[in-house]
Amino acid sequence: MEDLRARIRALERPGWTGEEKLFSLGIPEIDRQLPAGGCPPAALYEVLPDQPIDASAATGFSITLLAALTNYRKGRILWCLNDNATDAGEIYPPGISQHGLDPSRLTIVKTTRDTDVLWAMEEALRSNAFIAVLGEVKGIPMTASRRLQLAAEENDALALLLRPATQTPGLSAAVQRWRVKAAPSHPRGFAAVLNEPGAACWHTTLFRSRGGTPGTWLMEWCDETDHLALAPPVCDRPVEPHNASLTG
Amino acid sequence: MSRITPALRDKPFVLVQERQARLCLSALNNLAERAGLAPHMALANARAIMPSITVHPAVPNADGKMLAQLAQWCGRYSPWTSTGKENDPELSLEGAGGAGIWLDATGCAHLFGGEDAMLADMVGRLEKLGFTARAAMTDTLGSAWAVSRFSSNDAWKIVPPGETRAALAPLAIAALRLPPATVLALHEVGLRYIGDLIDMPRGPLAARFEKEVRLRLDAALGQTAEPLSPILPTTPLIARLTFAEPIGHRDDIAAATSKLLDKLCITMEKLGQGARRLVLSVYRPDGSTARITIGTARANREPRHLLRLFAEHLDEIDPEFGIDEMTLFAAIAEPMTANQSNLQRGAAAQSTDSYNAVIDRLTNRLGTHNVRRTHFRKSHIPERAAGFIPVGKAKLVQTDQRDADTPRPLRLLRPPEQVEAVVESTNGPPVLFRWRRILHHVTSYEGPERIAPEWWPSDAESPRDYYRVENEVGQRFWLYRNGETSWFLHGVFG
Repeated sequence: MEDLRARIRALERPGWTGEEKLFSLGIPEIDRQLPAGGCPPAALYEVLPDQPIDASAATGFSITLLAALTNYRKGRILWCLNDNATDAGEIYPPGISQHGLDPSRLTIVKTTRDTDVLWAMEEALRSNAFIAVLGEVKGIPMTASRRLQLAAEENDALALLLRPATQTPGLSAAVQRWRVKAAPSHPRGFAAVLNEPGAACWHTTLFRSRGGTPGTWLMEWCDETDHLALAPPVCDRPVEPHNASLTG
Repeated sequence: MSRITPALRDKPFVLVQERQARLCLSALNNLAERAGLAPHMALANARAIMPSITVHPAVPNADGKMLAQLAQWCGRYSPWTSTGKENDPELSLEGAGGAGIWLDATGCAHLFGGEDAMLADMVGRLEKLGFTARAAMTDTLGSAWAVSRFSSNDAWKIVPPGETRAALAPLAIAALRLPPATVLALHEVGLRYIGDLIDMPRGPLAARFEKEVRLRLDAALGQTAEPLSPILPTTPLIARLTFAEPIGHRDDIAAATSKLLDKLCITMEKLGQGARRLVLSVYRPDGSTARITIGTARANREPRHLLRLFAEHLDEIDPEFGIDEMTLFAAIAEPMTANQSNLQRGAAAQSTDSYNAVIDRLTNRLGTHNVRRTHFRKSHIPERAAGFIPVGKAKLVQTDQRDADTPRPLRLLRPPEQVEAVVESTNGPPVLFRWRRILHHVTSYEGPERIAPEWWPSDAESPRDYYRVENEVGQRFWLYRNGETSWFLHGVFG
């Protein structure tokens, strides 16, 4: 069975050597569910927010993914900003730095059209100058995503599409497609006493995984250790607003 | 004018312009000139000499435009062309001999097989376009002007270096680009030819006549400088290609561009130069032109890379009825060291090369200001402290980037958006706020973090109190209070 799988891979991907280096988000439970036991660094990924307001959570998850990649290999990253797609402001270097990604790795392209973003992504992938290329796009046709997936595979770089919230994401050639939704945080220690927000929590759904099975996880990203982990399943904190009398 | 109505070519024909309430001739064709008419003559006088002339009103702007277009067209011979307007506005269009275009042909003639062939080609082509042209090639601007207009009847004339003085001597004084009044004054004292002036002591000459006479004379003789373009180039980095049949297909244009690039890059390699800006000009048989300009982040002479930069823009060229000539000119070039073999260079250098190459492609399509890198500044004001600046800009000192104590949002709204907020106490955090028509209940918060405005701007705003808040579903926002009651949302956290 394994042999057959490898042979099909070889047909699908020219230059396939049978050995593949993988990187990991740092959560063994997810790696176990992925077909190769980890995330391929030369492939197309897609991240969507669940609701428009979750765009920042989706950005956070994307940066975590890129940060996980930079733990595996060093290099430059291209980020194509597209205000028409995200409409949640532009990324802010200090915040990115606090999220575990060195902002000096970033080259930014500012556009307002999907076509320019897709063109820039493909140029960047084919240039071999970047280890990862992220594009904020509104929508992407199947053929365009196929082109990106091929360009990523052939040039050994990661492509990531960060899209706005939509209930009908359409077809895509991406190997992993994630939907991200913010979840209430679990402050611990002093933060809990002071009623401060805790580490960021995301409901993440891997709704398509090529060769693997979908799954849903509640993740917690701890900014003190730059570490992603599964959040404890039990929520021991009330979710009501802290002053209900004013909320009428 | 006779270009548009060819029938006029064989008739005496003048253009008139109103001057001091009289109609005067402003331009005339050869036949009219032969009959004894001259510019500035009153129309009534002209009619008396030659009743059969055809008269049209002159349109000075149209002439000027046409001339500017022709100057562009002349770009096929030399990158430095001028209608002379900048140098002296009055004499460029009117005055003796009509309009003219100046070309700095230094180092260009060899492309055409010599100076003689170049001028023959120029006059021939202009004739085909319907212009009567006369050309002269000399050491100085002034003498070129004089020889082309006042010399013998040859269509073109070349004055070899060092023979300017001899060539100028037999010409009339008007050839010095002098106002008619000055010419008249010189005539009155019996000075008719430039030769009469050349050997006169300059002092008395300047005292007696306007200093213009001396200036023009010295300029024509090359004793004072009169540059055509502010930069006098050594050898212009230019390549040209002429087609026997006009080309129009995009692939042909691309192939021609590639050929030009190969040529130019070889020249640049010989001279140790690399291009920072390249101008590709196409010339159509009807005399119109089109241009594409590309820039590179650093000096480059890699034909394949440069061709890719052009390829993005080739569709912008409208060949119309065909292109019969193309030139490629390195408008900005910088010294560049010789290419080292790939063996000697490490992988890091290659990655830098490919990075520069892709940055060039991105900037040429999307604009220099749209390709950026991160940038930190010493400032407390969040929107000033960090952002993106164009990649090509000089590297600034990077300040400490990571301040782990104070959380910063992943995305920053520029500018901050005003929100409606409800607070518990005047100086407390918001418990409820509405952003983009959605109501958010605050379940936990961190803050305030006070950020005082910088003291130096005169319109400094009041201090901001920042709060990091989380709503009931876990979304996180960065809000600040400005003054007593106005709340702004400045960013969102991951």
